[in-house]
Amino acid sequence: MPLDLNYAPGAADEADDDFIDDDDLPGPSSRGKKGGASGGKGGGKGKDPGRHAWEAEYKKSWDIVQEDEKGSLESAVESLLARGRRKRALMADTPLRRSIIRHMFIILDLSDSMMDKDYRPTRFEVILGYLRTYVVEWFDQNPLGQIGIIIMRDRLSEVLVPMGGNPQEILSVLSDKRKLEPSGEPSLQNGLMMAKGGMSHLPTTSSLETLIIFSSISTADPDGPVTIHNVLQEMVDSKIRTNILSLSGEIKICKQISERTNGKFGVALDQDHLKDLMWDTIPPPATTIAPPITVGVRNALAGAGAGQRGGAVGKAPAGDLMVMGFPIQLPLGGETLCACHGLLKKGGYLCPRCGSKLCDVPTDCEVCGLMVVSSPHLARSFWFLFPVANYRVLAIEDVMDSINGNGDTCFGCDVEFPDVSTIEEGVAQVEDGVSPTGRYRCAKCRNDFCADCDLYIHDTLHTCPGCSQ
Amino acid sequence: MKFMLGDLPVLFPYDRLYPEQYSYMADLKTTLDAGGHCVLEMPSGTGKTVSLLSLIVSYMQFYPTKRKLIYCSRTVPEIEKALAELKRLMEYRAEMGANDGEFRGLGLTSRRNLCLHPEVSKEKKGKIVDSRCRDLTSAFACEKGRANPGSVPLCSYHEELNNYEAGNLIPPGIYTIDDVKKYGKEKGVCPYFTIRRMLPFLDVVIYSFHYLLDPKVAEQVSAEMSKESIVVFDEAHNIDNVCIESLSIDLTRPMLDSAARSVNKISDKIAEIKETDSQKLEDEYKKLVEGLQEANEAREDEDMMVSPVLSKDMLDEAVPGNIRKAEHFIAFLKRFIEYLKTRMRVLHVVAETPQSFLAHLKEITYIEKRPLKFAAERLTSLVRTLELTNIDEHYSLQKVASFGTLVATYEKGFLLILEPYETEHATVPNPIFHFTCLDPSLAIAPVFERFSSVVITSGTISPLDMYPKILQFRPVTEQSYPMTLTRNAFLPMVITRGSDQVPISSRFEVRNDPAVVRNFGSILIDMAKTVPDGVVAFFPSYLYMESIVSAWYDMGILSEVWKHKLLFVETPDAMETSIALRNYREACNNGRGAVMLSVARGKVSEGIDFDHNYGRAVIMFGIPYQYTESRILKARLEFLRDNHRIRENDYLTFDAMRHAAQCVGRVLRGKTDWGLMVFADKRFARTDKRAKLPKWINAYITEAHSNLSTDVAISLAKKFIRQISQPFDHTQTGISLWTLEDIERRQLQDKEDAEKAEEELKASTGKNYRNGTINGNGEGEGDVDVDYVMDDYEGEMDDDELARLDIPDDL
Repeated sequence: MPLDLNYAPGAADEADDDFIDDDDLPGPSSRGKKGGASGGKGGGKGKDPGRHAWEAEYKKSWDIVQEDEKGSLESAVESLLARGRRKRALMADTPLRRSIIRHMFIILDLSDSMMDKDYRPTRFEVILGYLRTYVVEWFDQNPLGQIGIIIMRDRLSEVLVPMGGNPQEILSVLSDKRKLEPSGEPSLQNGLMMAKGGMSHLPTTSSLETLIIFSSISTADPDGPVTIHNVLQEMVDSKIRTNILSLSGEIKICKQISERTNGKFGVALDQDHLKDLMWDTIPPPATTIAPPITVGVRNALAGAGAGQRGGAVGKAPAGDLMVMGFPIQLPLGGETLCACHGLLKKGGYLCPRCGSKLCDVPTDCEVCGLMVVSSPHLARSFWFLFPVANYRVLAIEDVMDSINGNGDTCFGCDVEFPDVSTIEEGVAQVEDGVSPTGRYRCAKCRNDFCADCDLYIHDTLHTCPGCSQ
Repeated sequence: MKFMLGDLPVLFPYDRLYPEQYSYMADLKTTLDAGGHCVLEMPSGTGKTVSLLSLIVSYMQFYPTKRKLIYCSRTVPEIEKALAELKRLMEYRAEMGANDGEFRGLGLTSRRNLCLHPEVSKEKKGKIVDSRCRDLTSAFACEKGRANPGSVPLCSYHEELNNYEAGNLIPPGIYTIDDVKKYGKEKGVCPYFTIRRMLPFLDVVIYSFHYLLDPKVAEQVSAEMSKESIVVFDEAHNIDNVCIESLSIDLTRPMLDSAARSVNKISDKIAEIKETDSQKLEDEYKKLVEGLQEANEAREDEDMMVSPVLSKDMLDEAVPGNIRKAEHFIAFLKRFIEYLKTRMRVLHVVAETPQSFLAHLKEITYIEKRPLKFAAERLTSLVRTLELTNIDEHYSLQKVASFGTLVATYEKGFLLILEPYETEHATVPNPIFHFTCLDPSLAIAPVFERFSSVVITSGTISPLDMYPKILQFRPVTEQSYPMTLTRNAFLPMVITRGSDQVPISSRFEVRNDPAVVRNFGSILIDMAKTVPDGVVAFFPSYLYMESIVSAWYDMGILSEVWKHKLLFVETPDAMETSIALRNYREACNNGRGAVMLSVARGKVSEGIDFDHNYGRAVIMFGIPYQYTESRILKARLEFLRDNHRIRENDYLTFDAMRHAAQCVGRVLRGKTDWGLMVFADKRFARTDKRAKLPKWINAYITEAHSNLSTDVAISLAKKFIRQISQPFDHTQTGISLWTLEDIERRQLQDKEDAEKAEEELKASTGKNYRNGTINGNGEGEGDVDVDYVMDDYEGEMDDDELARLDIPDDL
């Protein structure tokens, strides 16, 4: 698809871009691709067979998609798109304090119920597949975050991947299916205990989260003085946010856990909905403010910090300070031993404090514990602080007024906009949020974009190409 | 909010109102205006209690007659809930500036729940608390204690009451049971007697059914209620059984033995008193000559030793001579007990009418009907004369005396049945002598006669026309309200076949067929696998549950269920069941999930709510028919057929379906709740059965869901659970929650309907216009449409303004 290829360079300054092949662009970007295509079709009435991706996407959700009087699904798809846009509009309007540095445990239910065949081929396969793309997308959006994976099976929990910032390691473990064979029942209590233990050493400055993918309908917890309610209280006390995605239905204890810990509880209707729910957890959550450690320094810098944030967080205390280092990249010369794995490797980075060699950034230095990041990571982590403002939907009259100001093509991808005069009245009646003219205008640079670019810019790129020129 | 219902301003303590609440109140008002009785069915969890209370209180306060409200509920928690609701309502009314003056509302419950006495309140059994309390508070004890302090232990809480002005024992206001107890503790007065003595001065009384229906209590407690009172029976789906129980007595062998021992004890006591204080017995004799009524005048708070017959059947004459003397009466009782003992030696079933029993009694023992009639009264008098303490020891003797009185008083609508064996296959005789009432209308008749408006209401009281028939009254309004929901909060499914297409049924011939048992089992396994948290399963009887559970155990079905959920079983023992329930709740709370196996007529099906996670699905295994071989039931059916022309089958189905509805209704306790209802029996697919389910359930059983096999049902359930678990906005304003505007809009609509009906009436004379409006009020399907219809009108007229104009007119 030309659309995505055009913008591939935008994502290519990522250190981990080599994992993204074009067909498997994860998350919102792929959703944007599919959904956007249909939106484009709605406007352009193109007959390109490749654009029928939405047919597969929405095929099973009879309940959501209903044919309009002409027997076409266009309006239904468009209303779906509109819902997404409205959701984003709501989210963007509320300035929130968010954590850049996230530590998340993905707690994976590997009980017998994962072999259920209601997802094809099995829940297990589907979720592993999603997890692989999820992890990549997650690191893409949260370069400074770290992920660990815990699995629950046979009433035990086990750390599959310890907390770390390297998606490659996680992916390699996730691809080994033999080690992940589902069996027995899950124990939510053990899983949470394990996650809590694995995060106990982390500073309160970072956002502590767990994402539980729960397939079973019950949890088999150990007998004894400690109940799941105690564990829940500990989770609340240590401010670990718990998001739970259930594949089966509303389970009281899960709902209670996520509500008490400020997390989200979701029940997946089907595979696609599960994906949506998973991807909803990618943007950093609003933080519950932890007591700062470096009070003195914080106060000294408070004035400057508050000014920068433009009063949006006027009441909230300024953030805490933390130590980070920018590493020196080594040339791809001879092989040297790395500090993190003890293996001979080419290339790598040098810790600016202790000078030990690290394979990959971002990471915590094995030797001195310094957080080693590269400046693009840091920059990318800021995207949600300065989100691209929502583009204005252009009505027919607006286009008529300003038709001379902008060209007839999208500023992003050069696709031609539909001719204003040919637009039917019926299409213009779709719900608000979708432009009848197919144009969306940036308020700052006053450039027009098509629906696809609009989605791509807001969901993936996080910077307006017009403004940055 | 405040809105007008005709000329009556109604204060409703919430900002929003469900449409069904509005219709409910409108119908209730019609009934009260007409001064008649009504049967109303409204789903549980839609605020039945609050609509009832707010309408009736508004009604009471608005009209000058100041009618009282007697609100009867079934259990103590329900009474407490109603009181709390009333308290909230009155607070709201005060906030809104309604001048309610000295409005009093109290709830009455047993001594056990109210006692503050440091020792007595520690007793666990209600009977013992009652009897110990009576020892401390009875008239003769008080007399003695006051005359000679310290000679008799008295209850300080009870004594303290004498320092208060009668009729003002507690300041005006609404008190929940806990409030009264707190007040009692503060002031050192007895809560029980405070409430008892305040009863005639209260505006709202909330207590249990028995206080009105059971003649043993009603005469004592409810005699002073004014005729104008509005009587409400809430949760009244079982009211006929309560009526029957209140006039039925069962005697067993151990009871007779214990009664005989009591008689001996009493005769010893008489001999003792004769030596010390023969004057007392003389006095009593004289009193009895003068007549019963005077003998009873002195009594105050003794609600245990009373006549078991209805007030109108009580004789207003002197006690017959042959039992006036204490010794003679004792001899009389001995003879009667011996006679009953001989009857119990018979080893075959005997069913006879009271007349034939009396004839035989006379033949053998020369006991006449007339003295027997006075047995209970005479015993009361004797006990009082002898100043007996620990009356609970003589419980069996009271039963025997009541038995005698009832047998001698009633001829029609009763039957005596002697069953020598407990079960069919038992070899050791354990005889039970049943004196059963067959006609529920007997016990409730005085209530209907006395009070001008009786409201019978429940969440499941379908089919509505059955109740007026069996209780023999004529209702002004019979109405069932649907539940307006913006989402389908429950999914009823009828499973008629297993996955292997074998039809399933609990019919007697096939119920133990392995294929049926296995298919029942696979439903349970699949449900346990699919439904999170709690699942409740109901069986028609304990017997069947036992047999099927043991079969499941052998088939390995239980171990399969154990993989997904814990299993709990209801037993006839209340203690065991309450432990099981507690653990069940815990398992539902901590995510383990549990299955509760219970019985459709058991304690669980009647009083326990399985709301939210405690019951996400309920499975009815089979139709809960009564045990049709039971002789009592057979006699009852015969009676219904002969007297009320209700066919046996109709009654049986009615009874089975109301229990089924009651069971499945356990899971849905409000509009935010959701649950699955599974009817597993092929007979549920038949429309004659389904039609007897409450309207609000039946409306959601679609054709597609009425004949399912297990696998299809499970996949539907899966889909439903995922759908319903999606986040949902519960502020359903406009559709299932009304604001003031919606109500006014509706009233306008009704008015238009009425006008239209009037026009039609003019066009075609002879049609009753009033009926039209009443139906219009209750019409359920109209609810959702209202918004659309009125939206169309909005262009032409401003209905808000019109509605506002309406109010002054009405005022």
